[in-house]
Amino acid sequence: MRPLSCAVMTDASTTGIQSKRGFFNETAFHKLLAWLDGGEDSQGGKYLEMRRRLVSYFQRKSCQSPDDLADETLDRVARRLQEEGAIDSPTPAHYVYIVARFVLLEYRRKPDRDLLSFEDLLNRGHNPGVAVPLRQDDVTSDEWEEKRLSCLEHCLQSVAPENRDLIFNYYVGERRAKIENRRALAARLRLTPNALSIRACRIRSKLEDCVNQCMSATKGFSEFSFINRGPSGS
Amino acid sequence: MKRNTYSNEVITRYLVGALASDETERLDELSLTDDEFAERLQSVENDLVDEYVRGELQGNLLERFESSYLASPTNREKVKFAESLQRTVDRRAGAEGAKNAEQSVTHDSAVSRGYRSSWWKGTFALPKTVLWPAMAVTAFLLIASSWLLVQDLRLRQLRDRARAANDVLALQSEKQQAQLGENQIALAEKQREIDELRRTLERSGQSSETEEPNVIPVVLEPQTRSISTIKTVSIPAEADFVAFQLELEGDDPADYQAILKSLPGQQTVWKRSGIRAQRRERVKLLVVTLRTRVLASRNYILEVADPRNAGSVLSSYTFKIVRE
Repeated sequence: MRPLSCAVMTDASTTGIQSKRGFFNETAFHKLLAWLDGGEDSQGGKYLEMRRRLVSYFQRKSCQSPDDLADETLDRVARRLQEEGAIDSPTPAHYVYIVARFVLLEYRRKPDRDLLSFEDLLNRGHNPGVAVPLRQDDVTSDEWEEKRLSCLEHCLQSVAPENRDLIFNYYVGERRAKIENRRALAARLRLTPNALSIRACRIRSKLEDCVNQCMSATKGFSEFSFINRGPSGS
Repeated sequence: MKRNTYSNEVITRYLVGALASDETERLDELSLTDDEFAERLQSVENDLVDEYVRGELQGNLLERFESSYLASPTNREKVKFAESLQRTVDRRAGAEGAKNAEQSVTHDSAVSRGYRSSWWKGTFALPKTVLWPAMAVTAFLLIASSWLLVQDLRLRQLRDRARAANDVLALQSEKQQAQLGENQIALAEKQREIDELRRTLERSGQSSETEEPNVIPVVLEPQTRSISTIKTVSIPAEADFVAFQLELEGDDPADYQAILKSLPGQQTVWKRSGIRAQRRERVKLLVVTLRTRVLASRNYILEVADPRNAGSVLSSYTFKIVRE
């Protein structure tokens, strides 16, 4: 498994987007961004979304380092793009999926696939299945929880008031009451239930990224969140 | 490509790794290539995590969630985030409820304090010719408002009943959608079995295009107390497979396990899990297909078990095999 120290934050000056690790050159990265955009300029949004989906995909396949595998996939696509100039596929996402499957197959064939990287070992202590703070002696789980809550409060203040209200009203209540609340909220905002759930989901993702960044920025806490956070946290 | 045909239940099963491999692959592909599906997947995942945090997951799903979903450190972080979000939302809801109640009490008491003295003074200062009709009108208004209150309550009850009926319909629709998804999965499984049979035949030198496998269909009924009712199944030498059609009793899980045991001695000779039942009108049927080479000329018992309930046997079928 590639150690994280190989990761190089590369600036893509035109988009402001950074790749999590260095492609073999910056032109390849720009080419990849343009190819994923498919003619429109998403300001790197398509790249970030594809990377997020890849990380989730490798996570669902129980891979030890989903971020590394997502980057490996995009790396290969970028390399192919630069070598061939173009890729023949119904959509960029379909091609990325095919490459991801190959990356997964190779990962599963590796005899050392379950070995943890140095960073993983640091973050998980002696029990590979459990994530623990880097300096566990200094931080109790209550403190950790309080920290998370205060990060969330801070992050909630950073979102627009209408989005904050939406999140509160969307998640308040239990079972039937919650369903009723959501129905009323959708009617009030003149949205379909599906559109409401997508909007709530997007706000929640932003909050989650924000909380992960906030937690990792705190001295004395594990870099776990940093390593595993989504692309928007990069 | 199939779009939006997947119910939340199927997506949930996908998230906890409980779907068949070909269906998992299809959803894997959609999760990367279909924007709409990718967003829905995220939304269902959030709901699943929230249900876990609120202690609303049960049974097999809870087990799967804890053994499969929580195996990932990132997913455990998602659960922690969901706990914090829930606590924050609950805390705010509680604070708002208290604030509203307090405001309401303060406002009511302030209004009523100022009002009470002037109202009483004014009322009893009126001459009796005005006072009595005024009191009669007040009494009438009181009765009328009580009647309206009762009507309002009745209408509210009617509305609640209509809503409940609506919810039942929505639930049924959701279940039908889930059933559709499951049928698709069952169909895909059957297709895989057929492909496997074809490949086996090809390997044994026969062409699947020219020659179909020789399958003996057998209908078995649940075992009764009398052993004399044992069914005899004759298997010709050229038969490749036996397909047992079993009629199931009672209400039951989605997946079944079939175990074939030789008699006497009850030694397990064959076993298969994840078999799905088919419903024909009011009867539930299970088709269990196995190779004839598994069977010798002797008595057997075929047990149908519930894998979710520690493999408890739901029905058993005895029969005698005679190889020709």
